[in-house]
Amino acid sequence: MLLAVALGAVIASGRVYGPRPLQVALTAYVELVRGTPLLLQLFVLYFGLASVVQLPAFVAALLGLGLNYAAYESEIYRSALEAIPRGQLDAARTLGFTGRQILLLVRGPQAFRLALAPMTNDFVALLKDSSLVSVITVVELTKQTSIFAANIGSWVLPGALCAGMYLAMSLPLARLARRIEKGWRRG
Amino acid sequence: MTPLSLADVSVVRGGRRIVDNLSFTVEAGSLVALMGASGSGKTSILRAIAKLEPIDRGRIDTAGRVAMVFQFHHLFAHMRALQNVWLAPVHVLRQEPADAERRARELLDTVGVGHRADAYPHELSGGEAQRVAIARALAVDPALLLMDEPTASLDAARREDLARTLRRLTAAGRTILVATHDREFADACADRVQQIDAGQASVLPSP
Repeated sequence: MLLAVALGAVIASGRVYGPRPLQVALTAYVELVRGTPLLLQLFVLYFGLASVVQLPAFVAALLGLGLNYAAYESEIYRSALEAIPRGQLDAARTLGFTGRQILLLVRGPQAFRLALAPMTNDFVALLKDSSLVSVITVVELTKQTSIFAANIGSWVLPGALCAGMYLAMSLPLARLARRIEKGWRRG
Repeated sequence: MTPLSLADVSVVRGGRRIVDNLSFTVEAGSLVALMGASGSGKTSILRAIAKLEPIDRGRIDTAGRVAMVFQFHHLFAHMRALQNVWLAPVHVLRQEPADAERRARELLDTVGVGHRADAYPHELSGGEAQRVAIARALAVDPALLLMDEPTASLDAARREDLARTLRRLTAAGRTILVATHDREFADACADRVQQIDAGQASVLPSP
């Protein structure tokens, strides 16, 4: 998540503020990542790059998920940044703020409010998509559940436990986001 | 040096010349009303003076910092009124936060909205938001204050209040250029009216 957020913010800033060639390159990255399956990207990172560099499975999983979700995050941040009314930026410019200050003090914080709900969606989706990394030998929650289920010969209890654990991770996240949004609405 | 001097300024937007050869000056400590019908280029001139838009010909000279109060105020939506006012002094003028906040409270009091310091922009009425926007602009101690259609969303009583506030500010040495189509308001507060019509400037006698 941290990698996706940090890289997503960098990509979005580059697409909004960067020079034209950088915007084109970053747009190409986003479209490439969004247009191809995460599973394929994980295969390429782990097996495809093996002849050049053999990444540990966990690192490949982390990079695969982070790089993939960064593309989606960047689109959320870019659209949120572009949704801030021009007048807010004009007002900041006439007060003498630099471009960087406008981003950090005026545009960014307002964009973050717009981005929070779709970000939360993405985080929950990322949590669930983490089960895909079992294809590159990483034993995560779903994989561990399938091993456990095979051992006891039933999916009922392991499946219920696994679902419960995913919910235990995703529900607090959604709840936290709702509380933050509610606080902003009151403000 | 006069706070503002325009010489032969022309502005073209969308292939149309909306300001043509406009020249005028604004003297220190005065309030000049820039008047003209809708579409006569008043806002474009203010935006050009504030360096928000380029000009196509001519020259605009300002003697120092220029601040602007917009028609729709554009207060920073995620900050309380007080923070809207102290933000630029702290981050642009590098004032101590405690000093900037104290000064921000004074400015809010000066324009009559000190009691709304903790309100967010969406909690303010149009008149209150405008006063906060004036305080925010004054907080950077501008050599010239620009105001775009300040009476557009005010009733008659609020318009008179605003005229009095602006008179107080000019009496205290502030220099203000107000774009307005409201002749009554201009007569109530301006030292001079600068008329622009069809992109041409002409000077009318003082009210």
